[in-house]
Amino acid sequence: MLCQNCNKKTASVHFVKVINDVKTEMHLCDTCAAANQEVSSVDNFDITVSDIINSFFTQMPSVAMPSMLTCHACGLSFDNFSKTGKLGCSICYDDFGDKIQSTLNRIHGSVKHMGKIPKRSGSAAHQIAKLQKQLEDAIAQENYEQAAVLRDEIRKLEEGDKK
Amino acid sequence: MKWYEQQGKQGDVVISSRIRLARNLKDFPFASKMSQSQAKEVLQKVKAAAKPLGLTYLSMEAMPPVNRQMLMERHIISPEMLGAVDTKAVLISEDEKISVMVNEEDHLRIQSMMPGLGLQEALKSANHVDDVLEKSLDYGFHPQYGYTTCCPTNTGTGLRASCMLHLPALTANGFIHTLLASVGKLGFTIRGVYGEGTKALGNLYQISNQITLGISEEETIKRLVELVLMVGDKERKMRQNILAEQKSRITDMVMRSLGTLKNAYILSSDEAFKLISDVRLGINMGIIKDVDITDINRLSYEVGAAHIASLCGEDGESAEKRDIMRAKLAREKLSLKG
Ligand SMILES: [Zn+2]
Ligand SMILES: [Zn+2]
Repeated sequence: MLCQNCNKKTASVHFVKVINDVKTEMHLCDTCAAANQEVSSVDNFDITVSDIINSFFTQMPSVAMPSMLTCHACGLSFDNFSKTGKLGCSICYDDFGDKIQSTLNRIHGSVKHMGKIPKRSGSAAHQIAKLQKQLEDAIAQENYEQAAVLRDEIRKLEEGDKK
Repeated sequence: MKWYEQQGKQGDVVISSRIRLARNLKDFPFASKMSQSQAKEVLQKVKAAAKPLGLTYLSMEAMPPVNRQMLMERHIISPEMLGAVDTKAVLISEDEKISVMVNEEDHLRIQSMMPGLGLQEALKSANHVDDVLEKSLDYGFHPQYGYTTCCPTNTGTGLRASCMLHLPALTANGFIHTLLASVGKLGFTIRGVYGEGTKALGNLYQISNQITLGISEEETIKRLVELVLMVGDKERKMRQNILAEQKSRITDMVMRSLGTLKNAYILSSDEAFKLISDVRLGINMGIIKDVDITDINRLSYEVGAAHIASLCGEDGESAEKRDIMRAKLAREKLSLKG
């Protein structure tokens, strides 16, 4: 069998990927395989197995794996939220982490507030918006050292509020 | 004159504009998870915070049921406010343009209404109310997701901007179905306005935004205005076509409806809404010249079941008595000018 990428050398690496019942086969020569990121990561077998398992579970509907995710403030579980579509309190937005983020993304196609920021309750958001502007300026001026510092500060502020 | 009697911008198609902002207090669970004592605490906090606004505070519990219905018919409160009344209240401005529902799905639902196409003005006054309340209330606000709301469909700006449109011509030619199917892709929704039960009111549609995250309030309104203007244009073109091709028929239809509205002795609310729709169309097409549009605007608010029931007093329970009262009201309103 010839390598399906270069069609010159003999294929020595055979790679099969199954995601959501869709099977993709790749047959590559050693040179092309090394150049292909997806296939070259196969080198380490352990990583591949866990990768496959992870990719498998993220594709599965949440029903199959009941989540133990619960808001520490109001006691609402994420499963319960999935059923009713109603959140229990403002803290749910922090405690449901990535799951609420993907819910919001599915509904709005975005996870970033672009509107009004309240004067008092939004002090952190005001600060973030200010830093974001400085970050853009720093990047425009190719001041990457400064940009990295600003990016860390923004991240800290965003996470600091999740308490 | 009440705001809803006035003819606003684009008033031949756009009946009214509404802005709603959803807000919550950071230190309380959302309404569905709240205890009764917490809910009462929220009522007190909001009442105190709203003092500078000079709004009238009305406890839902203290209000007679027919008055609750009337507020719902005037779109000041939502149907959800009719349940668990002991934990709910509404604050209203004298002209009824501004209202704040307390402990609906969210702790606060700030509403601002304008006649015709007036979304910008409505947003401005809703923002003012919001700013005053925020001075003494701690809002739930997430640095990344914006205003936190009970339902994730409102997260971000918490804004629902909507316009009520009168689209008899687009309904008659069926284009409305194309419209219903296509606006969803733009992040907007359009649906019939319902009256008693699930029956649709005379050719009235509500068009509103669905997306609240990743877009600013101003941009949302800008896009909604564009859409409303586009729909209004189509409705007007269709009316012109009807006038050009079927002038006698349309004239006959609207004049008959006016005749019924002026002379009927028994009038159900469904029939009243249909007749009002025809007469409104007749006025806006220049066919009916001796009826004032403000009378029709007022009538469309006053023929609702609860308003009629309140006029009937003790007879309000009887459907026939209500229908007789409704017809009497229409006769009186229209014969003064006619
Ligand atoms: Zn090759
Ligand atoms: Zn919670």
